[in-house]
Amino acid sequence: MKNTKKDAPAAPMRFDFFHHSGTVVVNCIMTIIFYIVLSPIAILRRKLGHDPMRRQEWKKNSDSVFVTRNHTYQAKELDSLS
Amino acid sequence: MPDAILGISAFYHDSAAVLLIDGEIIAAAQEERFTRRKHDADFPHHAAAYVLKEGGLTLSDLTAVVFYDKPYLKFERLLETYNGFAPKGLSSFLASIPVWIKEKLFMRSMLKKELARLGKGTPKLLFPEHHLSHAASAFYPSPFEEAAILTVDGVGEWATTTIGKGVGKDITVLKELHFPHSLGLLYSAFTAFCGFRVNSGEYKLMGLAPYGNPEAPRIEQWKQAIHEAMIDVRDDGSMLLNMDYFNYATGLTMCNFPKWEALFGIPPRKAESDISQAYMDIALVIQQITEEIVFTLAETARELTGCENLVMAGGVALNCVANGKLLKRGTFKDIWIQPAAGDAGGALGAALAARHIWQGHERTVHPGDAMRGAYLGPEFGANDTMRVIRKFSAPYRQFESLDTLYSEIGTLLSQGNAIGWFQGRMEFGPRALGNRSILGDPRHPEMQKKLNLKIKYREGFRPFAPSVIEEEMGTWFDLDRPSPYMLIVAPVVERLRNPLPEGYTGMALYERLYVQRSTIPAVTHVDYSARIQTVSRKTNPRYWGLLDAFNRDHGCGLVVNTSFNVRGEPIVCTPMDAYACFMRTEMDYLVIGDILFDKKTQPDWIENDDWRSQFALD
Repeated sequence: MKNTKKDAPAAPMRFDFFHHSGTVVVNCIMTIIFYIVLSPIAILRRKLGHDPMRRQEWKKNSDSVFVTRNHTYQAKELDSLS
Repeated sequence: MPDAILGISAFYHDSAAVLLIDGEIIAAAQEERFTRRKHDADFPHHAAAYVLKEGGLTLSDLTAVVFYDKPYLKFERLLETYNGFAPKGLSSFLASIPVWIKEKLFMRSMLKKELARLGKGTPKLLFPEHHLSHAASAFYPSPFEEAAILTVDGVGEWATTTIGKGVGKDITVLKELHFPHSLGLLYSAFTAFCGFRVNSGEYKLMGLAPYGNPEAPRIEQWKQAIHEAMIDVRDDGSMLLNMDYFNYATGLTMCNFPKWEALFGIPPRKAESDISQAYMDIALVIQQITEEIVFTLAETARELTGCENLVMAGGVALNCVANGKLLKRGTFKDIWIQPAAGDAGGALGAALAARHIWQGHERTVHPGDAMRGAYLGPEFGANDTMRVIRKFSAPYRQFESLDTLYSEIGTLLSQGNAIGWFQGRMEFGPRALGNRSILGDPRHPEMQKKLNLKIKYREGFRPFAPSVIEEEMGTWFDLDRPSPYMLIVAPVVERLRNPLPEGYTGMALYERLYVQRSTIPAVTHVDYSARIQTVSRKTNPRYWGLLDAFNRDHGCGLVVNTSFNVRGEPIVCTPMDAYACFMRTEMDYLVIGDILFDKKTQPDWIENDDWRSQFALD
């Protein structure tokens, strides 16, 4: 059986190691997703004219850049998270 | 069974909870006041527990709990932002997506888990849009049957600015400006550039602006540079930002500082460093630009709605300098601004949206407004004060008669003392309005210095604001209507102003500051302006009583009113908080209810830790 008292000083070190390793692994996976999946899709969409941030409209003309909604809020809208 | 709705704002900044019963605002409070963590963003357990207790209710009594935004819409905006900028944005992606995946995408279950800590019950959960929450907080408590609605903030889900119309119980959104194009974030970016903290330093930038030199050539040069390189403002007040200058969409900072330095010829100011004239001028420039955009937005709102009154909310509505000028312009006959215009007020708006839109209840329009002076938080009785007295063996004097108390405090004020004033229910929103305030005599030439440096421990350039008895407002200020929430800036009347010395605009900041600009120097900012609270006898009889006595006995119907806290600390909530703040500072007297504490007689204040390390500088 393990002598937990002898192992005790090492426990925080082990915890820190695995905690930080977990963070590193998650960050690696997220970075791969960002560069290998998200970025190519984003670049392709922008090349096809998708401009969600309206960056192409900078100083193009003097038209309004408001989004027109003309919408009266309804009860059922408050039920949903989107 | 009463119809009870709990509104919640949480998880971003300024968490709060609000309780409505049968449409009436029963209680509202910000979480930071209970946890003593400024801008606390955690789920507001303490605030929610308080408001339920105030209403005599439990969770199971609630018809609905309303969260102030739509998380999935926000997530959509986040993903589309990465679509708009990738491959830029990795740092932001790594910081935010894990939080969304673990928590925010599961908002319903997260809220249920948090609410379970308040007790048993599974009320209906509702989710209005963020700007609907702001719009509702502005329109429903206002004194108008019908009004144009303007909400301007950093960002909600997609919207950063909305123009709408409120009629009866209906709110219609007409136009929206979408992220990343945001007047609120533009102002915050300049806040960061001038070395102040984002989401708390915007007020300081506004206070710094009057120190700018309007005659300096670089004012127009910088204005032009901003219009050419940074912002593209359209005729109706909508605008685009040149994201090359801003990091907030894809990074963890506000600005691309090297580009700013290249544009303005000055580096970003280091926090807590001396403020040179250049930063005062920058503050003036962005304040002027913000005002111009707000004026244009208001004109557009007038045109689109045809309404003669305007209501406002969203963090930018706290820019009381712009508000005062907007009122003066006369675009609208009258303007009402939600006192908790920031995200804390979103909790109120969310609850009101549920009442009037989800439930379909008609409004009751109150002639003044429905906010009860914003005195919506907890109050404490003599027993609570006695506990503090016993804990610290604090000598005190209790007054049998309020008139005697007012008279005594008036005399102490006239002697140049700084007095903590703790009464009644705590205010909701960022301003202290006479229930959790530190007061001083505005005529005293040293009062501003004393309060800034010896009590608030904050930057010396920051101005103080007056509370004036409503009946006397015209005597002191160029203001033609009440301003109960300190949301309007107006000038001191001309006859009370002193002429400025020659070479004033060339003087150093602190030399200018200590010029006696009027007979009430402590509340007269460097441009003769004041951020005014008018005090009504009906809304706050005690505070009115004090001001009335001060006026009768000493010829001055106004006081300096600054919030009862030190820099970085939330406004005090309890008698214990008040006594601790009193003892940690050089405040001279403290009044809690009808009990007076004299600093000279108090026992030594001993703390094991340095209390200043508790409060991060804001």
